Amino acid sequence: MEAPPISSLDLGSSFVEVIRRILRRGLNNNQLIILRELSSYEFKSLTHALKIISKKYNIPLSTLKINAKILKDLGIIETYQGKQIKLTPAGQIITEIINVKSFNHVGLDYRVVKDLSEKISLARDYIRKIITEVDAEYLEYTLSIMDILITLYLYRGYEVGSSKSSLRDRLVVSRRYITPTLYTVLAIAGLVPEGRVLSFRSIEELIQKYSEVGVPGIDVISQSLGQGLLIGCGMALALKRDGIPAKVYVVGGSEELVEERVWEAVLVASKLRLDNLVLVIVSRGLSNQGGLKEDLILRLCISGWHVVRVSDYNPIELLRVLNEVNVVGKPSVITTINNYRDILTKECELRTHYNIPYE
Amino acid sequence: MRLAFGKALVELGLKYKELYVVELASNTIAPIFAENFPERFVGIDVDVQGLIGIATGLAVCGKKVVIPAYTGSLMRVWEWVRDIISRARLNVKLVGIHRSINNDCLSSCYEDFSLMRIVPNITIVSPADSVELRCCFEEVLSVDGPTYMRIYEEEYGRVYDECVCRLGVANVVRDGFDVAIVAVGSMVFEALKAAKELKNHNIDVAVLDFHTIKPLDINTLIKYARSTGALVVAEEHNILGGLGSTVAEVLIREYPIPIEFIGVKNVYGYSVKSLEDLGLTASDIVRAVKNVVRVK
Repeated sequence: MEAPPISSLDLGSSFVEVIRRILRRGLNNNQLIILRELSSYEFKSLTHALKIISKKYNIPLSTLKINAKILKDLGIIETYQGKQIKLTPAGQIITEIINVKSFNHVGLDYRVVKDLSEKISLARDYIRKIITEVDAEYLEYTLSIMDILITLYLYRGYEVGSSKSSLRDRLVVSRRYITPTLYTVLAIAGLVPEGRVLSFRSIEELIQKYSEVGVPGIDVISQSLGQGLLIGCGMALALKRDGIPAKVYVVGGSEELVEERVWEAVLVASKLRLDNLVLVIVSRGLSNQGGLKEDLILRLCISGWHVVRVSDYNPIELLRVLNEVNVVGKPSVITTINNYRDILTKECELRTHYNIPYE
Repeated sequence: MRLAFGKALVELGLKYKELYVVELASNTIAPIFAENFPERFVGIDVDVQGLIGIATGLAVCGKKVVIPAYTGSLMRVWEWVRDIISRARLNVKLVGIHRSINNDCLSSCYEDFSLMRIVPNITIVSPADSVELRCCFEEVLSVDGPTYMRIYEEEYGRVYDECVCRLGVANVVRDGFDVAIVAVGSMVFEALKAAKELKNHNIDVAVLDFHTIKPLDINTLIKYARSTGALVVAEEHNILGGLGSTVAEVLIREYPIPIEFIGVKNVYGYSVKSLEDLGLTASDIVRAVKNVVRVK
């Protein structure tokens, strides 16, 4: 059976949109992932493909095998010449219509996405409570980093009391005045009992006592991006030389990019080819264009870093980008803007006498 | 002593598998180590603040990191030591190389002991010669926690033939009962010279090598304070805040006795041709001993 040429379909039309919706409903996330990978790469055999997909997206192999069989039975994928796997003509059309490559949630287990969204709204409730009932200073620093911190904290997984040579990814936070956020994150992770949400001042002492190294789940909290990124470089170097395939995430704000120490770290990371280092820069979204200035982005590119810009910030988008960032030989930087004003309600703003500047 | 240090690094690099050395690529303080263990050597041409940042990161991941540098440039990282390394008790060993003569203000520092002493959780060591360096360094690597070790570029004289060194325990090089000379580093050799000369004047001095400035060996100090009743403290360091101040702080509480201090008298000690210009020779020690004996 000959398939109609794809160009004859107007992929933007509302007619195709209906078909797209039906198709997306009919295929689950794992099947979409398989289609996406099969349409992008050549594999030696179906088993080979499924093994690679299982490792990349962290899906059990048995689940993938079941879903691949369903796709075969539906006539979307087929084997030819014994072992080789490819999309059927029908499968090709379906992949085009669904446009798997740009589908946002592909690559993430829907359970992870749902869980994360729930946790983030819970975190916002906590932090609103903290701000209204207990006075908090320097809100910009706290709030702008909150969503990202929660995403990274929960996404990488944390182990309380894990050894220094464990295989988990490392997290370095380079920001001052983040105690309310830190506290919220620990509460969400279940490491601090919920009843103590409002007594975060005493938790502040707890965190102070831990000093910069030792808060469960976060490897280092440093004062400024200059320090944090250098420490991140050192950690990435140690992991690389030990052959541990873990990543080091450094989270910092864009205000410190004028510091020369940051650029020293940028050059060091590029020279040592630390491709397990991922820097996430959060802008406060105050400037007109939003996000990082063009010349700074250019400077990062020229210094040998792989730059990914997330213009439309939401935690799900960040997760997708984190999943995909994987360039050999170059450290990566993700720049995002976070307009945190939607976290605050009218009541929060009235209660705090700290004026958040509008530009 | 720099060459002895390089050799010691290689020997101990074999023993301690997680030992890393971080230094400027253009410096040649540890070239043999770099050849033998390239996977544990990090040599980059950045400012020393960059080096210590990387060292901190390595230490957080469980490595023992040694940073050798000249003392003047090493003091720049005091803020890092205070903020992160000492607070978290990371395994970072700073090794400051001191140049006594033909130095300049920026490469040599006479204030390093006092700066490091006021940071909590840190250990400060300064061996007297290459023999003591070897066993001091081994001790430093075997304990956990941040350490500052000061070694000298040149070795002025050999004090020990063989050495047993434990951190926090002073070595008694020469026993005596009139005056005790408490010395550290290069001044131990000068103190021995002074002791020989003082024998001619019928003054019997004890020479104590306090290689560990922090934590100080209080027991030995008080024991010799009681038995001799007069003390001279000699260090190649500013009078303010170094070994002399530490000794004075302890004895004023426990057993006040007359003390004389030999050190750089609150000036910038650079571009000197010899230690005489700074007042750090054996004859100065002899003079100090005679002064303190009179007061006793």
